[in-house]
Amino acid sequence: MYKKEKLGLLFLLAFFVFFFLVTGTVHKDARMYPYIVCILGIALTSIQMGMTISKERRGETLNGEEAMTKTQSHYLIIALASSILYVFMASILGFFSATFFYVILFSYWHTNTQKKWMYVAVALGMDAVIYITFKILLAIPLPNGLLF
Amino acid sequence: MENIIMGMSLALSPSNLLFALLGTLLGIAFGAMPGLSATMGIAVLIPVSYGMPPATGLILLAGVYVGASYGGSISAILVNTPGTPSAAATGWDGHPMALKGHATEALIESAVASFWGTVVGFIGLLTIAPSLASFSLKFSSQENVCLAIFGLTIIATLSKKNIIKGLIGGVVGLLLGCIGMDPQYGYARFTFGQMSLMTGFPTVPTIIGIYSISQLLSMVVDRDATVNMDSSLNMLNKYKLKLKDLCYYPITYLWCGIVGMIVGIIPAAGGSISSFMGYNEARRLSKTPELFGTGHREGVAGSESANNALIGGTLIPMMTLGIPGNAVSAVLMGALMLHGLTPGNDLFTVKASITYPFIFGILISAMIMVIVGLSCAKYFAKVNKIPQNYLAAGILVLTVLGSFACENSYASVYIMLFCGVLGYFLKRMHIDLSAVVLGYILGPLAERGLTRTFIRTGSVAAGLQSFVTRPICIALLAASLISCAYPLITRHLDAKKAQKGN
Repeated sequence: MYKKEKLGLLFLLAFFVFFFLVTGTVHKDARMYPYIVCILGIALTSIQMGMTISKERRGETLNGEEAMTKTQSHYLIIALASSILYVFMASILGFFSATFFYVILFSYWHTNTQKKWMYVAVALGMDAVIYITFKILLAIPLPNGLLF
Repeated sequence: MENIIMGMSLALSPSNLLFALLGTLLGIAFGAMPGLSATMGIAVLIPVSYGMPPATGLILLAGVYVGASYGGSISAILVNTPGTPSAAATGWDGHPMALKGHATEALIESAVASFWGTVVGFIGLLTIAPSLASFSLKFSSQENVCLAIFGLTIIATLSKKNIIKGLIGGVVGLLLGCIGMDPQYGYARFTFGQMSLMTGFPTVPTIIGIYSISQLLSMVVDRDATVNMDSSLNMLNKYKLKLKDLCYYPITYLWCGIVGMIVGIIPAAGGSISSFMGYNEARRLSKTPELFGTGHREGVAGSESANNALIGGTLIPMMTLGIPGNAVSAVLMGALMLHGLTPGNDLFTVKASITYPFIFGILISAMIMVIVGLSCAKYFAKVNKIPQNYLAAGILVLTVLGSFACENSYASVYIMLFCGVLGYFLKRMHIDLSAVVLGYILGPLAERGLTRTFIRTGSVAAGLQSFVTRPICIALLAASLISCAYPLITRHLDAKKAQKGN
C-alpha cells in the first residue's frame, strides 16, 4: 500500500520537476507563472511524501484502494494500447473500418462468452448508427482514411 | 419577461421537445447504470450536440443532466448501489422500501421528488442568474483574479479528506492550463515543437479525457465490479398510481429543493452533500423522524428533491461567473464554449435566444422525466443488462468521435487519451479530478487577469495594492479565506467530537 503511494508521489514529483526544467526553455516574459505552478507542485508533493513516510514510520494504516493485481495491470495496458492503436488505425484505414475491427476485437477480448456473430453484429450496428446520426443527420466531419 | 416567453416558446418547438425526450431517456439510462454518470453521459453526447443548432444541442444535454440525476436513484432503490454518488442517500430509505415490497412506490416517489426538486432549481436559475450575470459586468482584471482564486480555494472543500492531495490535483490542472501560448504575449509554452499544442489543451477533449476515459479505464480494470439487477426486478410490486402521489410531501419538496439549490450555488459542495442535507432536512421536518432509515417514503422525497434542485443551483455560478462548481457543470461549460457561448452577462443578453431555451429545456426535461419515471422506471433498471464489453467499446468510440469533431484533428484525440491516463492515475492516487478541472479552467483566467493588472497599474507592487482597494476583490478574498478555513475548522470540530465520543 505504502509502496504504491510513494511510487505515485515520486511520479508526480518527477512530473513537476520535468515541467520546471522545461520552463527554463520558455521565453523569459512567459516564464514566471509556470515556475510558480511547478514550485507549488514540487512543494506540495514533497509535503505529501513526507507525511506518507512519517505515517509509515508510525505504523498507521493507509486508507485507499489495494494495489493493482497483475491481471488488472494487464487489462489496463491492453485497454490503453488498443485505444491508441484504434485511433492510429482510424487515421490510416478510416473511422468506420477501424471502429468495426476495434469493437469486435475489444469486446471479444473483454468478454468472450457471447456468440461470435454477436460481436460482428454489434460492431456493424454501431457503425451504422454512427454513420446515420453523425454523417447523415448531423453532418459532423468524421476522420477519413484509405478505406471507409 | 420577453426573454422568458421567447425561451419557453423556443424550447417547446417540436425538434427541441424531441431532443429533450431523447436526452432525458439517455440520461436516465446513464444514471441507472452504476459506474456511469451524468458527467460521462454529457461528455459522450457533446459531439452529437455539436452538429445541432446550439439551443437544441444544449437542451439535449440538459435532458441528460436531469435524467441522470434521477436515474441514479433507480439502482439505489433496487440494489442499494447508487447509480450516481448523489443518489446514495436515496438508498437509505429507498432500498428498505424495496425490501418491504414497496419498490414501485419508492421509484414513483423518487421520480416525483426529482421533478419538484428540478422545478425549484429551475426557478432559482431563472430568477437569480440574470441579476448575478449583470453584476459580473462590474468585474475587471483584478476581480477576475480574485474570482479565480476563490474558485481555486474550492479545492480545499472538495478534498476535505486530504487537502494536500486536492491541492496537488489543482496544481496539475494549473499546469495543464499553462500549455500553449501564454495569454498576454503569445509565447509558446510546453508545446515541444507541436503546432497543435499552440492553442493549448482544448477544453472538451481535456475534460472528456479526465472524466470519461479515466472512468472507462476503471470499468475495464475492475470488470468484476458490475452490478446485476435481474433478481431485484422481481421486487417491483403492483401499485396503482394515485393523484396524491404527485405531491405527497409538498413542504419537503419545497424546502429540500431550496436547500439543494443553495448547496448547488456554493461551488464544489456537490450532489452528495445536497442529497445528504436534503435527507436530513426531510427528517427534521417529518412528523415521524424515527421511521427514517427503515424504508420511509419521506426519506426518498427529501434526498431526491435536493439532489435534483442542485441542477439549477450549480448552473448559476457556471453560467454567470464561469465557475463550474462540480464535474457535470464543468463538462457543460465545455459544451457551452463549444457552441460559442461564454459564461457571463452576454449569455443572458446577446445570446438570450440560446440561453433561455436551454434553461426551459431543464423544466421540460423534468416533465418528461416524471412521466417516464412514473410509467417505465422498471425498464430502465434493465439497462444494466447491456454487456459491459459493448458498453465500454461504444463509450470509447463516441469519446474519440467527440474529441475529433471538436477541432477536426487527431491531436485532440491523443490529448484526450493523455488526459484520460493522467486522470486514471490521479484517481488511483485518490486525487479529486474536479480539483484538476478547476485548476485547468481557472488557471488561465487567473494568469491573464494578473498579467493585465500588473501591466495596467505599471508595477507589481501597485498591482498587488490595487487588489485591496476594490470592494469586490476584498469580498472575494475574504470568501476565499473562509473557503480555505472551512474544511480545516470542520475537520478540527469533527475530531473533537470523535474524541468526546470516545
